[in-house]
Amino acid sequence: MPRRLFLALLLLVAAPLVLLGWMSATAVTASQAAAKDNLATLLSSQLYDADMRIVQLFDSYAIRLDDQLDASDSVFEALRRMRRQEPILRQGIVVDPAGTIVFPRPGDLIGIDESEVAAALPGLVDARPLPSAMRESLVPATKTSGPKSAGSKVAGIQSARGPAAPRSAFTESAWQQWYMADGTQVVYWRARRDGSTVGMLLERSRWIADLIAVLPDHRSSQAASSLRVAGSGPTVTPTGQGSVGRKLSDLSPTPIGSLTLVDEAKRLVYRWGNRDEFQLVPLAAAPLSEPLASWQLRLHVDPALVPSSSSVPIYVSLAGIAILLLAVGFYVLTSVQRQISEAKSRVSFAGQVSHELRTPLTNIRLYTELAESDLRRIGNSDAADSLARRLEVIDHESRRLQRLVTGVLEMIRPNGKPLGVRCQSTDVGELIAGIAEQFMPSFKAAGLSLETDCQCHRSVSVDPDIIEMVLVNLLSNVEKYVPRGGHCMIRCVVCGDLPATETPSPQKLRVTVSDDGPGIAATHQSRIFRPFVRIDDSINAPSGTGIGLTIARRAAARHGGDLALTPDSQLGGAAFELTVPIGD
Amino acid sequence: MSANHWKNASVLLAAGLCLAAMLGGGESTARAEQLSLDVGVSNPAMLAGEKQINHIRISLTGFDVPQNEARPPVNTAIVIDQSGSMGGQKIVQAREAAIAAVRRLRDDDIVSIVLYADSATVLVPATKATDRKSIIKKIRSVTAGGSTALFAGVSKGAAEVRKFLDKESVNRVILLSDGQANVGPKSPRELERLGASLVKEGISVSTLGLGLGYNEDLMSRLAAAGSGNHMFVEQADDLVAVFQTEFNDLMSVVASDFQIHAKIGKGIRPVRVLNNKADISGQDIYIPLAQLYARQQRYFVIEVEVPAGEAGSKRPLASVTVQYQNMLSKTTDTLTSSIEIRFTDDKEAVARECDHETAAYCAIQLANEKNVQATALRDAGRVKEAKQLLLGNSAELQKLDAMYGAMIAEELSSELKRNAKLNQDQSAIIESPSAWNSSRKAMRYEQSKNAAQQQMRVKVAPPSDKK
Repeated sequence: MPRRLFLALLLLVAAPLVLLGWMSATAVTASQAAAKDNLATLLSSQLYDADMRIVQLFDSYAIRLDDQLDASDSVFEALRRMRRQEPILRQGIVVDPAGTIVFPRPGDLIGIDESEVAAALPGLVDARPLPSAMRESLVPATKTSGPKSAGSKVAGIQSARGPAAPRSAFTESAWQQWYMADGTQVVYWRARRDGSTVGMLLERSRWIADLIAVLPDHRSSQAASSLRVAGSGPTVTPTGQGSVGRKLSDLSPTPIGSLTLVDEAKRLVYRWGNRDEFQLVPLAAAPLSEPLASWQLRLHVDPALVPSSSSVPIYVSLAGIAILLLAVGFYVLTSVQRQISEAKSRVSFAGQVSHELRTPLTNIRLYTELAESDLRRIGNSDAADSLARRLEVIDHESRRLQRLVTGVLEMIRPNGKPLGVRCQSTDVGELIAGIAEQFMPSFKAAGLSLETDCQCHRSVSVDPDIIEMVLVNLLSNVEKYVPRGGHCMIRCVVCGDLPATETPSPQKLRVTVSDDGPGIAATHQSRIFRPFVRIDDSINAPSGTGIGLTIARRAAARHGGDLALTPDSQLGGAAFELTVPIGD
Repeated sequence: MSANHWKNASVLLAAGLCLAAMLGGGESTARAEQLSLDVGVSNPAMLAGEKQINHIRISLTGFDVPQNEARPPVNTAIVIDQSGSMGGQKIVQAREAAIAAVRRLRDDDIVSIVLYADSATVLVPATKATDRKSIIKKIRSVTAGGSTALFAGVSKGAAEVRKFLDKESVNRVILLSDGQANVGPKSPRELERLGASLVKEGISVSTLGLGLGYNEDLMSRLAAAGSGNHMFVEQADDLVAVFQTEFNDLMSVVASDFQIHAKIGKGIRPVRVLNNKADISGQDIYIPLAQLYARQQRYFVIEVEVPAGEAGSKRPLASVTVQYQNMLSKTTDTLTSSIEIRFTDDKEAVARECDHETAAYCAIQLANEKNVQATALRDAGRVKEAKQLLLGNSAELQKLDAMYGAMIAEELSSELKRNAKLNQDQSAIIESPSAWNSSRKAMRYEQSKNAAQQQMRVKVAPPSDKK
């Protein structure tokens, strides 16, 4: 019982805790995600700023390459010269309107690095973004998508910058991304008026280096400015020759958190900002603009910066609730346990007292009987008669007391220890008559009549003590609850004796005790056999312990039989039926 | 018809073209020293009737800087590794070396200090070296910790140099590293291409590998493509001295911004330039070179495939034009030279007319190439083959020295001997697995030294080719 109680208590504590915890956890994560989003939006301006620099860088490449190309009359010569002198150019390509590569020629690609370019050229040229869709109808053969086209990504096509210079032979330009060797390669394409296109494969290492150069570094801003003032002086001005980054705005203020630039395979290319935050999970990530759309800028921010509603108060309050619930539960449990143990000790006290009462009772009965037999020898006299009557009362009352004691003992006997049933050949009729005899005086006093109808006239093997215990309890109830002038009937049948059945079915003794009292309301019928249950426990009710029927039923069960309330009372009141199996 | 005759015939005709003089510059430019250009061919006489390989050598020798002449200003970025591995003595020595270098600078020199670890830090943005105190103070604050973003360091360093990029100053990024690049692009090839790109705009890159943890392939290839020096500094204590050497070189630059163009004769196929990444386009070969030091002898060997010729006929082999910025006279000068070959049936004549000097130089470069192959073989675990290759190299060079040693310049002869011994020593040392890490770095160092003639200086500058 305490174990079960304990589990119930745990459940009582755990269930609300789990519910509360889950609810607060979801609330916390939701608010944290919202805070993170806010911060990411706030800090994404850094990503945008960095992306702008990169876009400007590629724009400046385009301007420079355009200028060089426009300045020369021979495209081939220009491309050859640019390969030697232009740091950003790795290889120039010229494709004629039919899609044939007319430059570089085999003689232009001698060397290991050059042959790598030569191997990649056909696929690269097949996937070139120019001529754009509107011109495609003129030269449909050029846009066959080769097997490598999956590896290419066409960046946005832009028309030539501003109003095309009159001498410029170019109409539009576009960027192309192509995967080759170390990773993404960027190709700058220009369409010429004659339908051919000029492509310029940029030097990957160079534009990565330039990217890194235009992005901020670790330098703290104040240290830098102080040194610049101290060091360079007014006379020196940077030449800016060939410098791309210098066209852009100067370094941005020290970033919040740290930023990383990763390439198409998510490999780290460059990072800047707070050193300690490089290893963190990125808070926000944004792809770069064309032509490097497969690259990503990521923002890492110290989790401490994310305005997180700390979960500590929630845990604390949860713990508080848990402790409170536990305390209440513990209090209930201990008090219940105390009461149980108190009840137990009371019961055991009652049992011990009852047990102690048995010996004096036996002695009282013994001496009463001795006194009766002594009285008979004295002979008849008024005094003797009076004495005999008083002794009879003593005997009767001591029997009643003994029955009570037996009942209590029966009641407190642990369930697991069945007392033996001492079956013996008994004349049931005589037994019932004896019991009726016992009750005669009290019935008479209560103004009740008792009738016995025993249809069993042979000896059967039952335990007379048990039959007696059951009947005594039933009759006591009749005595208590049936109003004056009532009638009670004890009917006794042996079922196997019925002449109709010849089968050797197990014979049963059925004893019915019915009365014409108020009976038992249907609502109470299920409860009357429970211990300590009394239908009317008010002060006006007849005295009683509430264990009589329980004892009776247990006794019957001990005998292998049953005691039940029968619904069809012959006399209109309550009717109990005792059924016990009988031996020979 | 001696061998010398052919040599002299080919050497001639170097023309100095002084822009300043044309613009009516002062007298000083007229007296200005010039580089000397020497173009030779291994076999000026070739056996007729068969396709053969021949080697052309283009040699440039820097003039000496007169005592009273001011050296050209230096514009340099010192890029220092401050990753965790640099901790302890290494970073202390690196600081000292950088400080010593800064102290040597003149007021009109430009310097920047870039650090790299997890990311790159521009400690000192490009600035005139007037306020050395505050620069040195900043250098003293450098501590080590973090990973190695080498690429970012070089990028930032180059960007700092670019701020004050000037034809008339010596523009160089000096990279110090003791570890493997592990943040950003990290393959030797990517760095090599970056170096090549920087040379196009006149920035050279020198690399100093410190200790035994750095990536010697990356560092040597970056320096080779970047037209700078590569050094192997095994002990941190040597760092200051090595930095001094590097700055000695830097301050002795006499010419820069080279455009070396060799036009190969019609029908002759240019194959490659030994130990060098040249731009070959049809018959035109352009060799990148950023700087030449005083008295440095720098040469390039072009391998060509000559088609069968008729006996007695002649064929123009190559005409070489070298345009460069003369750092002392501050003018753009041009030198030209051309060379031809003749075909003969006489095998003896072929042997007799062989240009021993050119042949020796070519042999050194060929041996160097094989040395690189030997490293690759050793990397693949084929120690025996590598050893064989090195011993072959040694024997070849020794044979050459024995044959021509008396006929060629003493410096060249000793260079042959040195290389023969080097190959021999290496053949022994590559067998030790425990020493391989160190010896591989030493090998790479020697290879880049040979390929770029990092330390080849003539005792006396040759008479300059003056107009």
